[in-house]
Amino acid sequence: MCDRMFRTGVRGIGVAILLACIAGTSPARLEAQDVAPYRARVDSITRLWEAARESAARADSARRAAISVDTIIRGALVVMTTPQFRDLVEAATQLAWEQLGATLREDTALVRARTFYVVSTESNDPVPEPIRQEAEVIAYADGSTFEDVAMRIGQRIEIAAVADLDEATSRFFGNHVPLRPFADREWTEVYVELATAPWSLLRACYLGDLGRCGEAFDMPAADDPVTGWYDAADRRWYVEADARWYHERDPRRTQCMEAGSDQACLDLMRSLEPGELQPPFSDRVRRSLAVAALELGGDGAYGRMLSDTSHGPEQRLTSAAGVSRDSLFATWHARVLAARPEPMTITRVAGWTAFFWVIAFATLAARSTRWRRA
Amino acid sequence: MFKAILYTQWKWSRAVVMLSVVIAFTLPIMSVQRAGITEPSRWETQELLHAIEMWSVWYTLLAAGLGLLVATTAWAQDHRGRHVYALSLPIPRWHYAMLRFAAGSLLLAAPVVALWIGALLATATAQIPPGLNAYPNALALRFALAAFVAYSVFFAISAGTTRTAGYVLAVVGALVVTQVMMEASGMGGGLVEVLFDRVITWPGPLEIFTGRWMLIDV
Repeated sequence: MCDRMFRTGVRGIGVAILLACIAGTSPARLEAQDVAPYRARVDSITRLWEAARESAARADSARRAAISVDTIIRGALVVMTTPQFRDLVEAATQLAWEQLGATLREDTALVRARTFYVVSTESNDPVPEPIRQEAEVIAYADGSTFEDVAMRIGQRIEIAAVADLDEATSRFFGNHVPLRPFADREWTEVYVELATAPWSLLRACYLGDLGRCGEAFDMPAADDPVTGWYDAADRRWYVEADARWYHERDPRRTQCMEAGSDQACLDLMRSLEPGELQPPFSDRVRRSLAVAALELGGDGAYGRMLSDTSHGPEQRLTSAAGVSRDSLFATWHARVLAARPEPMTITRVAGWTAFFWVIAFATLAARSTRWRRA
Repeated sequence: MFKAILYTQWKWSRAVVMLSVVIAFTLPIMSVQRAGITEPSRWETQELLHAIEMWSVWYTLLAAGLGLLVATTAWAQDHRGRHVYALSLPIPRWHYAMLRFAAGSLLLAAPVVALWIGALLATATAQIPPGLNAYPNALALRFALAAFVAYSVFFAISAGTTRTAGYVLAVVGALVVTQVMMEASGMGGGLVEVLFDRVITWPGPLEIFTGRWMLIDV
């Protein structure tokens, strides 16, 4: 049955590819748009087809090896598991694909096809060798929900998507392309980071200086990040906070931290290996900018991000968003501020409601028992 | 008469109240132990918020537990003595119940004040990173309201007879059984969740227990 389903799925992908090709070669659309996005799509569709064929071969080999494996296919996701975990894995695959679809919309065709073998860590059965060779194994802890498994699948897809980008953009995203929408909790974490960051650049960004937000995102890239990202006070703070990175007996460390010598701080920070200097924003905040860009760009945003060959996060993100750099920052900034958690205050309504219930229960207590008429 | 009832209620519940006073005073101070770093990095700031969030659950538990224990001890002796003392008094039952309720409410004030003082002390001595604010007054007010709501709920239940308590339990049990049966028969089973949601969201009585109980927050 699983084999039949799989073949049906592959046939479905084939039909989808055919329709996509027909739609993609429509003359009217060719006139209206650039060739580059279509080239990217054709390339991805070719990859999809190759992956589908490979998956079919794997399924055949698994069948030959008489392994009891169920295969679930959702778009570019081919997920295998043992029959006992099928329900959970099927729900997880469906959710993972829906989450990708929520961000990428029509560009889900650009997602690289992946094959996974999902198994519980509690399972005593070893992963079959043919599957181990050809599928990525995702082991989930006992008690995990299908949402947890979907998150693991989504993360693997996001990590794999890095291969479609240039190095600078991959590094900007922390080697993890955000293909799924941020949950409210994640936006709140971004807010907390922005609101509590000690760096002057981020304080200005928090207060609405979008130019400073751009600098914090390293857009455009700073010639000297040490001075571009951090002012003198920040630099001393940085060295103190990350003191463990510097040799204890390095006299510059003492001069920077105790004597407050900015030159010593500069020397120390510049002595860091490339990539060791922490940018003001964390990977999560930088990814949130991409999420905002993809949301803003709507249909085709991800395709525009991939097909922009200008090599750099700034151009890719503005292409994806379809707006100017400042508009993108403004949208992102508004989105982050909207995620501010409810502060520890009590509204007047909540207070009076609680008081009402106290009176209501007290009245209830005063009424009715067997000696009420005493 | 109120003085006498307050005195007897204090005698019955003083252990609970005194213990609550100590816990309520200590909780805020314990929750800001991580706030001693002079110049925290963004990770340390978030760790601080996370630590405070972890402690926040104890405020709700303390409020609920305090309300429960003070309410049940208020009526325990009456139930044990078959209400002879209450029946011997020349006042109607509602008057007697209100005296008991007021006495218990007054006793609740001690832990509330202790928490307020503890919160003020904790935030005054802690190093609060830029971008964060302290909310000692709001926390104390929320704790007070939550404790009073819990107290009034359990007071109303305890004020009834054992049969009344049985009815309440039976209703809860019936809900759970109905939920299980609905799930088993494939009719869906969100009954308990829906009712629970109604209770903990506005204008439900336990709404005050939800939300962020953060002494230090953004």
